[in-house]
Amino acid sequence: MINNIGTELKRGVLTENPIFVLALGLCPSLGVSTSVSNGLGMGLASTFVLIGSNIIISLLKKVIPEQVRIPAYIIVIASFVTIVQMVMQAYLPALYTSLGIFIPLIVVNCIILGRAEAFASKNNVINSAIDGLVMGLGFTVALVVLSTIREILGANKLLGLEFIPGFKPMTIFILAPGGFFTIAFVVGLINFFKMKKEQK
Amino acid sequence: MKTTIQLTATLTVIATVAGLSIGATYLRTSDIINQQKTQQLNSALESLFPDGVEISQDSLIRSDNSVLPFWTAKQPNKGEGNLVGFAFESGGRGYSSTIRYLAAISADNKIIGMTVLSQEETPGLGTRVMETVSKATFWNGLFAKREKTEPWFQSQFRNISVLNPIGISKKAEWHTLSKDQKAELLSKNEVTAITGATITTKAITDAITTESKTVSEINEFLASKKGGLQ
Repeated sequence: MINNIGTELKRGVLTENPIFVLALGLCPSLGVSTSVSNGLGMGLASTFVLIGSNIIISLLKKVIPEQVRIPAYIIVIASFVTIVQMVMQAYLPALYTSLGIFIPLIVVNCIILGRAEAFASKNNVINSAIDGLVMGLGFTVALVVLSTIREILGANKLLGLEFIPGFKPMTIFILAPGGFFTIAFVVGLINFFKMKKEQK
Repeated sequence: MKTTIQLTATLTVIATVAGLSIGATYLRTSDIINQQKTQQLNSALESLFPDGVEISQDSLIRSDNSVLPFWTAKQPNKGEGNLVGFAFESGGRGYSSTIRYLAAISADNKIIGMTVLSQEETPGLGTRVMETVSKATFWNGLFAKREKTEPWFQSQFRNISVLNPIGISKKAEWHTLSKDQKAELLSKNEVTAITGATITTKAITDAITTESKTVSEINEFLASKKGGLQ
């Protein structure tokens, strides 16, 4: 299993990237990829929740009947996220102030439900945890890529600091339309290189 | 029939266990969370008033029978006329969220300071109420220690009178103005708008203007309390 980590990582970040390839979790991606610190925060918080929910769903896969699995998953994930939010707010206030605003958004992130349905309900606990980790990291990488482009073009900033002195930013890139443009452009670029590779 | 009951039962058990665990976590954490919220509010209050004042909580019953909590700041060991000012929490409807803020008002009805506690305005536009001005760029400032400065939008409210309506100037943003231009704005009781976020700006100035009633109510309450003690 351990020597597979490299291929698993490649699967999460490149070949099955949640945003760019699976097109999962696009709404939160549009919403939070306005600055690199937000993108990174959302990515890391989602990774944590994804690992946790994959582990729980994988443990419960024999208990949950096939016919009612979706409502069962939603209950489990929403409760897990709520508990994490309360524990974090009480015992890790510093972390909560930077990541807390993203946690309620994670409940409605379809990546979590998507991975529970497509992976954790069919695989063992360790593999599900690894799937959560690599998918979460893939989501984080994608968000950082998107938010870097949007923060530089839309606010002329990177990590909250001025990027090119005197450059007048195009505010549209930080608004929702700019999010669509950026995602479309990056996905297009990825597909272009993929097709080129296949032709060879 | 049997499967229906079985499915219902399983889902019920899952939902009950989930509900109970959330409840148990809430019971364990709610006190600590409340303590932390009070702490945050206290540090926000301390940052508004000058150093070394004594801040105490008070409350009054308003004309519509609602309770208004507020905080008074007093200069310690000064006897009569030691009131520095008072602070209250309020909110206004912005472009996409309710903007909650804390305002500190001096004894002569001017804003000592205001700080936005929570807002979810448009990124890049309305959220700039929290923007701080820094000369550092990405290339030289990334690893430098970042100073904690007050957001420029909130700074410009200092010494604005709350009893007169607060005007909005759209010519240029406050942080680009010279000292004289800032003084001129202050004499007109005006603040500058955030470019492209006039609704957010207006939400805050309107909210504070509306609160002039609250300010006079607190003033009356404090005056009557002082009279009662004499």
